[in-house]
Amino acid sequence: MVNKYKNQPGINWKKNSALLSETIESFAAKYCFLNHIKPANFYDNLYDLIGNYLKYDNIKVESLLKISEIFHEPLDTISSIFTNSYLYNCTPINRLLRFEVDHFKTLSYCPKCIKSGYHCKIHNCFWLKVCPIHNIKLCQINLYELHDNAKPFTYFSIKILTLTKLFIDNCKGWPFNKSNNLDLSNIYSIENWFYNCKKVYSQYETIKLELGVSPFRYPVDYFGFILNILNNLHEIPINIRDWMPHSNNTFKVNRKIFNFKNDLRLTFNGIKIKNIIVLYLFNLQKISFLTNKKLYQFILDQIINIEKIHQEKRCLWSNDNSYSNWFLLKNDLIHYNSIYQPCIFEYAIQNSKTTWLNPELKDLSYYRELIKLCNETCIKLIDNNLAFYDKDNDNLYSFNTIQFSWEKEIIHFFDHILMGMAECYFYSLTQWLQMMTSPKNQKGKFQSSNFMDFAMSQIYLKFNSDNSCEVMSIEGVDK
Amino acid sequence: MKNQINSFSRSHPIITQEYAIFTPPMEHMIKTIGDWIDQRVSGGYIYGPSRFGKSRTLKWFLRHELEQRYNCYIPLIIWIRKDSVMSEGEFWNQLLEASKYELSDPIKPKTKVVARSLFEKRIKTIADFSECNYVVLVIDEAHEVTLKEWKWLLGLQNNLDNEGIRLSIFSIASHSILFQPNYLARTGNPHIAARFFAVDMRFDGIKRMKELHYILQGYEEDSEWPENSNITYFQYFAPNFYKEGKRLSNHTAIIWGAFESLFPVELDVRKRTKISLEIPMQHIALTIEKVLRNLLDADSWDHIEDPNYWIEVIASTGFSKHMKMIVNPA
Repeated sequence: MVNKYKNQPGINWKKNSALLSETIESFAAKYCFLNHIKPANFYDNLYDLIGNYLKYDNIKVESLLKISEIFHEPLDTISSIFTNSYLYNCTPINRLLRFEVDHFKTLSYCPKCIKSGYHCKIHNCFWLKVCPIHNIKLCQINLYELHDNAKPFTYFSIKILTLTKLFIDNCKGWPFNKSNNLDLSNIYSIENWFYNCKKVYSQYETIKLELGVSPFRYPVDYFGFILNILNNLHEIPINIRDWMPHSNNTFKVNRKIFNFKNDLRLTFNGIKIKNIIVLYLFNLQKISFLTNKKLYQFILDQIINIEKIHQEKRCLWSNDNSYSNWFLLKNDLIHYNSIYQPCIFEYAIQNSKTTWLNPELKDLSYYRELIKLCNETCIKLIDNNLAFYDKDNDNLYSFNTIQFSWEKEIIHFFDHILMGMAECYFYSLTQWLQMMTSPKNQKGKFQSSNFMDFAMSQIYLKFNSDNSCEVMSIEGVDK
Repeated sequence: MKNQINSFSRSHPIITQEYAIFTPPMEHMIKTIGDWIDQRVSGGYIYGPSRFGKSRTLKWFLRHELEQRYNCYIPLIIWIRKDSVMSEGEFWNQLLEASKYELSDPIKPKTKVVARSLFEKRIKTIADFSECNYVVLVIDEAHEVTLKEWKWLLGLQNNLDNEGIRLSIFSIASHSILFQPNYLARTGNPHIAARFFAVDMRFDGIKRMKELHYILQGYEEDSEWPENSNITYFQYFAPNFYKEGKRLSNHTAIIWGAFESLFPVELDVRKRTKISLEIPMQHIALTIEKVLRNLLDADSWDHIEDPNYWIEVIASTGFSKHMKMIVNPA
C-alpha cells in the first residue's frame, strides 16, 4: 500500500524556513535549536543524515538533493546556502592554511534582518557596511571578545550560538514565526556581481607561493599582495605581532614579506621570487587585459623612457657586459652608487626586449636572473609606472600621471583592471591579516585602512544599483 | 510444484501474519476518528475487547484511510505504549520515536528536558508541515497510561495551546479504560478526564453474517501478494479452486454457523438478551489462514462445505475460551 502523503519530515524543521542566500550559520542555528544539537556537531549530524561529508567548496549535487529532500526545502534555496559560502567567508589562503570556513571573529548582521529571522551571506562580507536589503548600518559583534578562550575552529559554533541568541531575542516565535517577505533583489545583484567577479577571476592563473621556512611553509595566494603597490598597507608589518605562531622563526620570516626582504621564500615554478612587484609584473603577462595592444605599447614606451633616462645618466648597464657588472656591483656598490641604479627594465632592454611581454615564456633562466636583479629602486620605478586602463575611454594612463581621487578612480581600477583580483583582495589580504593578528594586543591589532572601508563600501553601493556603475554617495546610507 | 510454492510462500503475509483485511468495524473506527478530527476534539477514547482489530487498524489503515478521506497529509502520530511503568525521560523519548524522529537514538536517549522540548518542537514541525495548527496523537494500549503521564500530556497540550497549536489525543484501549474517566474524575483529576476522555466509541467485533462475507471477500478479491501481481491471497493458496470459481465467501453461512455453535453456551443462555455473538477479527483471521494453508495441499473442495470442518478449525483457534475471557457475564 503506497502512501503518497508519507513525507513527514524526520527531523524538526519549519517548512520553508530556509531562505535564499542565508548563511550556513543561520541555517544551522535553526537546525541546532530545533533539534537540540550542539553547533559543533552540525556537520557531523548532517553527515549522519545525508551520508556524505560536506566540503565547503565542493559539495556534491547528490548531497544538496538529499538535504533538500530531508528538509523539504527547494533545491535552489539549499544550493544557495550550502554552496559558495567560501566566496563570502573563506579566503583561498584560509583554505590553504586549513582554516575552517566561518571561523572569523566578527559577526556582522542587520538588526532588521535579524527581526525577520534572516542572516544573509552578504552580511558576512567584512567590507560591507550597510545592509543591502534595509539600507541600514550593519551591527558587529566581536566574537573573540565574547569568547576569550575561543579557538579558531570554534568560531563557527560561536557564530551559531550568537545568532541563535539574536534570533530568540529579536524575532518573536523564531524559528516557527512567519518570515517577512524580504526584498532580496539587492542581494541578487551583489551575488550576480560576485558571480561575474569569480568568472573573471577564473580566467586568471593563480600562482601558488610558499611562505615561511620549512617545515612551516604555507602556500599563499599571490593576489593578496597586489594592493601593496598602492601603498595603502605599509603600516601592516609594523602592526603585525602574532600570526600562526608556530615558531619564532616563522613569525620573523613572514613578517618580512611586507618589507620585501631578501630572505622571503616565494617560489613560482621553482623560481625563487624575492619581490612582490616583480611577481606582479611577472604575472601581468598572463592576464587577459595585457593582450590589449595599447597596454602593451604603453609598457614598451615606459621601457624606452627608462632606457632614455639611463642613457642620460650613462648607465653602467648599457655596457654589453652588464650581467657580470651587476654581479660585481651587487655586493659592493649597489647600496652606495646612486648614479648607476640597476634596473630591471634596463636589463630587459639589454637582453630581450621582444620577450619581455611574451606570454609564451620559454627562457626561464633569463627570468630567473631577471628576478635576481630586483631591488627597491626597481620597485619604486615600476610602482610609479603601473598602468591604469580606463575602459570607458579606452585609454591607458600611468599612475604617476593621474591626479586621481579615491572615490572614483580606485573604483574604476578595481572594476576594469583588477576586477578579477578583487575577490582575492577582499578575502585574502585583509581577512588574512585580521586573522593572523592578535586583537588582544591593541598595538598588534590590524587597523583596516579607511581607504579599504570606504572603497569597498563604494563598490558595494555601486554594484548594488543594477551594475550601472553609478557610485552612490556614502552619505546616502542611513546611519 | 507444491514444494516450490511452500518454500516461496514462507514470506507470504498469510504465513507471516503481516497483513490486515479491512473490516466494517475498522471503517467505523476510522470514520469516528475522522469526525473527531473535524470537530478538533481535545481527547477521546476507543475501547473494545482485545484481538478485535483495533491495533491493526492503527497500523495498517488509519493514516492511509484518513489521508484518502481528506486528500492531504494528516498530522498524525501513533504511539504504541509498551511498558507499564516508565520515567518521564523514557516517556518523551518513546513519543519522539513514535513520531519517527530520525535523530532519536534508543541507545542514547535524551534527557527528559531535552526530549520533552524536542517532542514539543516535533509537534510544531508536524503541524507546520501539514499547514495547519493541529496534530493528532493516537495512543494504542492507552489503558496502560498512568496518571502522571496524563499530566505530562496535559502540560504539553497546554503549552502547545498557548502557541496556537491544537493537540488531540485519542486513546485506543481495551475495556479497562472504561473505568478511567470515572476514576480520574473522582480522584481530583476531573480536568484530565474532561480533556482526554471527552468522547468515546466502542470497537465492535464482527456481529453480522454480511460483515463476515465482506471480510472473506477481502481474502478473495481485495488482497494481493506478491505486490503488483494481481494474485489474491485465496488465489495464491488455491489457484485451481480459484480458476474453478470456488470461493470461501460462498459458504459464509456455514462459517457463521460454526462460530455461532462455538459461542460459549453459558453466555448464550444466561445473557441471551444482552450478549450477542461478536467475533474477534483475530479468530476469523486465524481460521481463514489455517483453511488457506490446508487448501495448498487439498485436492478436493468438499471439506469446505462441511460445517464440522469449520467447527474443528475455529475450535483450534481458541475462540470459545477467548470469548469467555473477554465477555464478563457479571
